[in-house]
Amino acid sequence: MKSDKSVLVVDDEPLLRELMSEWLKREGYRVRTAENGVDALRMLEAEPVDAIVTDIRMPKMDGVTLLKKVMESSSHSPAVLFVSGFSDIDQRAAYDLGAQALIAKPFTDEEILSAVRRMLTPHEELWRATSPPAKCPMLQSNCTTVASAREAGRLAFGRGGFCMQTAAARAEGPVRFDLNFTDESIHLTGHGSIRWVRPSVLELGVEIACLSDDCLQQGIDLTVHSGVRSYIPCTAKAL
Amino acid sequence: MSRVAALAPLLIGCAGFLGWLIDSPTLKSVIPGAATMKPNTALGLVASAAVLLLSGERRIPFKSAITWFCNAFVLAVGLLTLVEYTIGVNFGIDEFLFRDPASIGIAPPGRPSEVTALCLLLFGVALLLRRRTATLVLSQFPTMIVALLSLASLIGYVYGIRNFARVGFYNGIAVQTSFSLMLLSMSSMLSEPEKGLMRVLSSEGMGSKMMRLLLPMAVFLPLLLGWLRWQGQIFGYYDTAFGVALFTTSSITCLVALIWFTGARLNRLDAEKLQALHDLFESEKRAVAVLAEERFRLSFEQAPVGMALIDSDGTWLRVNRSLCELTGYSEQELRVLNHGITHPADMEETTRLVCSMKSGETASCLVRKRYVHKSGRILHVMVSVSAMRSEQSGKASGFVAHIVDMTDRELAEQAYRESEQRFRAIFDHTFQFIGLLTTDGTLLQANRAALQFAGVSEEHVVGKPFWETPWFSHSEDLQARIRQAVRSAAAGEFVRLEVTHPNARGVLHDVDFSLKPLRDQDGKVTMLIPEGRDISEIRRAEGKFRSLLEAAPDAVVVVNQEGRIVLVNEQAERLFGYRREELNDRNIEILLPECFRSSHPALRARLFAAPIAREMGPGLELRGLRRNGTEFPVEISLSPLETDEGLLVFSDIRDVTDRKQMEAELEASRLRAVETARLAALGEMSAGIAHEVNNPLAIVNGLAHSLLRMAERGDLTVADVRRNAERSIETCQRIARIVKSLRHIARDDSREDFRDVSVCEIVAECLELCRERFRVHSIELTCPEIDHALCIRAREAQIGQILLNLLQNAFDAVADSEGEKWVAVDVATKGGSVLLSVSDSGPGIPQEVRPRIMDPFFTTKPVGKGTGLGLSISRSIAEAHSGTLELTHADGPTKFVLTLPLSTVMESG
Repeated sequence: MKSDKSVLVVDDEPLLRELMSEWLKREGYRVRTAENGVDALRMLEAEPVDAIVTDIRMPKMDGVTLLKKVMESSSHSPAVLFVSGFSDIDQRAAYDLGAQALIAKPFTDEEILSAVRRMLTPHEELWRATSPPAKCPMLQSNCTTVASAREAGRLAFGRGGFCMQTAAARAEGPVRFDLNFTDESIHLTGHGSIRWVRPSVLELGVEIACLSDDCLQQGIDLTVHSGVRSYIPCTAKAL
Repeated sequence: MSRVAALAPLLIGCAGFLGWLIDSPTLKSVIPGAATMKPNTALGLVASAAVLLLSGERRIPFKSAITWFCNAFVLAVGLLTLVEYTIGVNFGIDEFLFRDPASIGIAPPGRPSEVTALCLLLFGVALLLRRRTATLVLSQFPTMIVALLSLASLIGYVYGIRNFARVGFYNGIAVQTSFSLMLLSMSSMLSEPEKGLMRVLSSEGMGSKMMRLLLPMAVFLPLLLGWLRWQGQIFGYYDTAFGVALFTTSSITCLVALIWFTGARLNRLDAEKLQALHDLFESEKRAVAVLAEERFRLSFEQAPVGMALIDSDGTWLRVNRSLCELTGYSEQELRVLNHGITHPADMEETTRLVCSMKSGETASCLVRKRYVHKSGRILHVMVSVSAMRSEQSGKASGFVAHIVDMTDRELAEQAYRESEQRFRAIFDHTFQFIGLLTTDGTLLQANRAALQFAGVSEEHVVGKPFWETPWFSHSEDLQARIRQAVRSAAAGEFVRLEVTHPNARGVLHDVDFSLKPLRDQDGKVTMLIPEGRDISEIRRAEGKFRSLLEAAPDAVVVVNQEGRIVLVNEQAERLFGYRREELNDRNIEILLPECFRSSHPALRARLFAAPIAREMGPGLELRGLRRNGTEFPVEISLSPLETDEGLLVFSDIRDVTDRKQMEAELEASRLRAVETARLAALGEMSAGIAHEVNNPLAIVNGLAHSLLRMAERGDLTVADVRRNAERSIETCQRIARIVKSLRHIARDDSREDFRDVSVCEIVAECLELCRERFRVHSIELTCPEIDHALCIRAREAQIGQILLNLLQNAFDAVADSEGEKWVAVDVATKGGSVLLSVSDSGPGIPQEVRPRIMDPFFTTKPVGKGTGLGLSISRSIAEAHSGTLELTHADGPTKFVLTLPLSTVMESG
């Protein structure tokens, strides 16, 4: 399986770098490797990539700084996968920073490859309707506009999901949603996964897995093309 | 006189002897051609005169020997010369000293005349007799003979009868010799004028006086008349018969005139004597009068009381010394002041009395009055004045005043009056009830307090039997007891009871009542003194005290000087498990565990010797002993209190079991805090360590999964397996190293013994745990090669904890800093110690923070990043290892130095 997509693997551990590089190459990606964030940035300047798989703890420049720098450098940024060590960063912060996936060590080759695959799949294809898991809860929201919802701190979209204030505290796991913005005639329905929950402020973050066909394009416009940096915002409140 | 008479013969004798020496005829013989004074005669006269002169002298050396020699010489000259004349021999003594050629043919040359020799012999005998008092009178007879012989010789010279001296056996006697002998005799007689023959001449009797008048006349008158009669005959005025008649007539005439004169003289003397007797009588009379006057003066002057002589006008004429002493004024001042020394308040009365006395209305008076002493002091005096009446007119010629000082008596009386007033004041105003009873119990007197208490007046109770008074009327039983008490007290006993008295409103009060017998000088009971003290308040106070004591949160045990328990409260009963009856009067030591008992009496004695409130046995773990034998920790504070029962000590005993337990818990929690800090430090480390472990774990996991995929795909080769297996093993060794480090460092060995551990190993393991984290943060971690032989005696995990803590702090200081980042571990030895230092390139510790950096819970790290216990605990661990942990910051990077003593094993090695 050949792909024209390029992946940059950044890790200070040579063996891990070598392993991940092997796995991705076998998958058909063009793989480049860097030892730390500084080297990675230099290589990105020379030649952009489609996705970055990076360790977080590294000498000279860590993964988080690398991500920030990447996000700052261009509006069309490569998708970034964080490979994290022991509690280096939590999911909420990682998604807010713009990372599209977070995998904890130790990991399997499949986990890495699947995440990279998802990152490199276009949203139109990725979010095409699939049947939702059975018996999953429903999140509903009725707002006038997206902006007012954001300003009211009730709902905010990221590039891959949304953060929502809801009275019903939920556990992580699959969820269906029905988001209605009456004044803008936007009605997003679909399903996804709750990635984090903050019961104290009644907030949760949802990664979209599927949007209904009728609202797919609306959804992509609201999220991927919104120009926001976060993958899932860490809070619905206006910052 | 006697001595002058003796001195002349001495000089004459000396002159005579000188005449022989220089051969001077004038000195040998005064009258030319007359007999000369012989050398032996001259020496005899000198010796005789010497004896007489020396007899009066007392301080002449060898006086006795000299007088004996002189006396013997006189006797010898006289005797030997007479012997020569008598038996016609010459002993050679006459010209022993000088030749006497002039006498050859006239008399034996150089030999004194017979009369001279006889005179010398007689005078020598007289001198010998004079030596003894008994023979003194006898000596006067030979002396008289010598005087007569020398007189006869002198008369011869006067009448010019040259041969008069040669009559009969007389040899020629020189005129100066006769004169000298005459003078010697007179001297001898006059030297003892009151003895023997001389007494007749020297006494004061009429005969002696007449003799002294007549004797010179009897000698010189016939001598003069005889000489005149002789001279008349020589000049041829008359013949012998006329001469004799003339001599006789003139002698009779002279004698009659003499006797006439003597008689008149005697009569005059007699008249003088009578007058003297009369004068004597008169002077005796005067003396008696003077004596009487003197006696009065003396008795006036020396009278022990003040006296004054006052004239009829009332003026003080004389005052005696006692009055002066009494009033402090001199006699002159008193004479001027008169009655002025009277106290102003008594002046009017005094003036009245003086007028009355002057007018004769009053003959005498006796008054008490006051004088003002010169010093201003008031004198109380008793003055008695009596008039002296003249015998003729019967009018008062003056007065005598006797003034007796009554001040002391007045003061004593005043003191008695005041004492009486004071007694009354005390008796009536004391809070106590006091009275006076006869021995049969009849009430004589009751004080105001007692009367007011019962609300009765004195007339209601005085004269009644004591037990029938209102104080006891409320209880027949009490009345019986009082009656009995009166009987006992009358028999001499002191009775004390606790009774009740109803007050005016009928409320009963507790009264401490006593009855004391009062005895007279013979010891007989004359009266009884009942006394009562209202103790209701005290009873109430006791109740309050008891309530307070019982309400006290601590156990209270009161102990007397003998260590006996006097009082305990309920808490003490509860605490020690005894009932109070069991504790009362028991020794305090029963509440002490055995081990404290022996030393306790001495400690107690020390407290009673210096009674001040204090804590007992400060710093000691005191323990109490319960009845059931269990011990418990106590804290005791001691408060000495002086009471009627002597010095007591209040012991406030607090069971501190709970507190001790709390302290133990606190200690445990402190230990837990230490442990927590250790774990926190470890927790901080663990994130890094997890990462350390996680990375190799991810590698091994990845290698395994690669193999699995290859196997699934079917393209697995032996080379792949080998390569992945080798990489897995290598990576697992990395994990093993970390785990091993953790095993040494991350365990709790705080209860284990110290052992010799290698410094190199501890440092290496700590670095192993940190290395990855430092690497990830691009922090250069350096450490020199460490001598493997360097050993310390320690608990290695604890030392590792210090090092990790220092490394962590260094990491935190450096991690976020800009520029070059490094942390350096260094090891050095100094003396017997090893110095482990951790320095870093961080910004350094601010000056103001440095002093507190080792304090517990002090931290500069963000919340959640440090417990603030790290350095404090590290330092206490270092100190437990006899080491130190210090911050050095002088002009360089932050550097913590851990100094630990090197192991002795290593040192000796």
